[in-house]
Amino acid sequence: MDILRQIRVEYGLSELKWIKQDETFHSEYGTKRVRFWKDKQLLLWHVKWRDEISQQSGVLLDRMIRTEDGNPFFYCEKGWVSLHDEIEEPFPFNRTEKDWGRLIGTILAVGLKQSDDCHRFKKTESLSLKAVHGGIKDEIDPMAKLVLERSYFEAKSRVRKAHHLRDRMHPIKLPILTSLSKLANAKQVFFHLFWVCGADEPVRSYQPFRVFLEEWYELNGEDSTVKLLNEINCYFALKGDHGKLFLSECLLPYEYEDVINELFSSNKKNDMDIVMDKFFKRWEISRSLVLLLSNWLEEDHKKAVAK
Amino acid sequence: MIYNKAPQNSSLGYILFQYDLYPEKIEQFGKVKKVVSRKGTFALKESTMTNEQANWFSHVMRRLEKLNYNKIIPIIPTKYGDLTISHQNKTYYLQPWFSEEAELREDKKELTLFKQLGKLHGLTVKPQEFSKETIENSYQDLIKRWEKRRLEMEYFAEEAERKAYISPFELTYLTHFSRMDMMANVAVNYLKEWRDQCLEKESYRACLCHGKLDRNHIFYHPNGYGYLLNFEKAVLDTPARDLAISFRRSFQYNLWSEDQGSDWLATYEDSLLLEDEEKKLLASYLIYPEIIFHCIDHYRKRDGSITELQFVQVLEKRIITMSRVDHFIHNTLLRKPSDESK
Repeated sequence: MDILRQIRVEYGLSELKWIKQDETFHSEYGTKRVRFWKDKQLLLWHVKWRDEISQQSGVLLDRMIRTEDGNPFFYCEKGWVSLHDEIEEPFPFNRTEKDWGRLIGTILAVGLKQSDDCHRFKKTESLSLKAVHGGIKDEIDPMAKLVLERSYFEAKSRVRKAHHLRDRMHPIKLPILTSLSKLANAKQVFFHLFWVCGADEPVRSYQPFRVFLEEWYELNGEDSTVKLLNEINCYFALKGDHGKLFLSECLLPYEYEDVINELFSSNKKNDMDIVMDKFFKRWEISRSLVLLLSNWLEEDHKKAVAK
Repeated sequence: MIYNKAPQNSSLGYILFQYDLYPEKIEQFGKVKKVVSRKGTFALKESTMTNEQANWFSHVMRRLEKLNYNKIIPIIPTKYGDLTISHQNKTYYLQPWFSEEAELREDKKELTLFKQLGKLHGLTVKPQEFSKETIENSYQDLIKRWEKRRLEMEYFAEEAERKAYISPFELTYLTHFSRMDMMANVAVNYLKEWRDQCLEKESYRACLCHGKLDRNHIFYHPNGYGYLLNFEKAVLDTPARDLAISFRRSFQYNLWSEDQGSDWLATYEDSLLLEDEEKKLLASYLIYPEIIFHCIDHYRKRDGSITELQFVQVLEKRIITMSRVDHFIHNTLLRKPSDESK
């Protein structure tokens, strides 16, 4: 059965026309997106997660539109199918830290609450720097090789600091987070934030939050990042142990791993300059963000000492 | 192509988006917006429910649906399945718009109301796990509250007596004060009897209570049925309390008669027979002269919008109502079958 015909029946829609086959279509109630799911457990997690985040924060998410029977998805030959709103208008970043703080703070709070319940989602694999370093081959430009060799020592020091910071703390839970990358996933509906969550498998880690904050910092700068952290802190206690745990995540040199993987994957050999440039940029953003974050975390402590 | 004619009001747009409603016309009626769209005509209600209250409200509506109780105005879920939307400290929900209400005879309105109240209570009533502490606490709380109110009223009477020129309203109140005071004592006695009976039986019942059911919260459909609405104050409580609230609210529409009360109770009891102790509790709620005290509160806060004469008229009407309540309690509510044979 054609999927559009099935959607017509399940959702009581009538005027449907594909914009992009099996992805987006026009309907009498606006443009909608179809998502196919192979893993039912993951789908159920996404339904519950989106409902909870949206209800708690009041921020609109690309939640599953209910069928006429009130179900969040239906089954077809290709697997489970969910239907979502497709919004095009992007949400601005300027002076919207309050909205973003509410969303990200709620995501972190709910993620932490879920930490005990969702055992199937694993921690992100720990970075094996030695193995990454071993991947450097002689075939690249000697200058690039020199940079990577030197950066290895700094990367090792960052890993050591991250572990040291983590080991000094009492063991605390990590939140369950789904991908927060791509700020372009933020759309707007009547001047309100509408966040497109995607369909990724979540992880038990602060890594998605780090990726998000790095992108935010790069796009919006230091002042806005501090404002955002303050807003997040209204919904999730980021100052304190969780802030330190997040700081230890930000110290890990993932960009080092990525640059080596990219350089030695066969199709990237010719883009060496671009890859190295990207590496320098990410390294610098990561360094600045760690500095900003540690200052932000110590801010209250310094104030208390000054008094 | 749908052209969204919603005003450039971001809050309203945010809410209607979640219903996929593209309004062609919006009219305001107090806290309700009438939204005319291609999908149909709807009532969007704005309320002050907190998130917690809204969750309870949604739970109540879903529970009633599960119980197949269909004499309520349904709540239309958002496209994401939520029954309410919280936005900027307000809660919103959507219902179908009904405009043509049936023209019922005055006496029929309350009969329909008490019939539905009985059904609602009958469907949801459950014996509760007995707790002496719960009974004792409820009793003590109510006694304290009533005593505080009684003292306030006594103070008002004393103040009036000290005046050189007593107003007509104060004079009317003073004339009946000792009777009202006596009624307050009778209420306390009935309440004590309720407590003693509960403790002796070691049981009590609770049901889903609407919380403020009167003519304003029921839609009289031309098909002859009454459909309840506005469950924002719904709670789990004794049926006697909800019944007392509806009795009191219904007194206000016309000069209530004892016979009407008998009919209301009989209609209610077609669905749920009250236990002896529940009747005592209902009697205590009804005979406590709160409606008189409430009138005094209004008089003390008067701002000139109601004349002295109007205040006197309201008070007189309420005093008559209380006398009839007194008769109703003795002749109907607490009358035992053995009394009838005498």
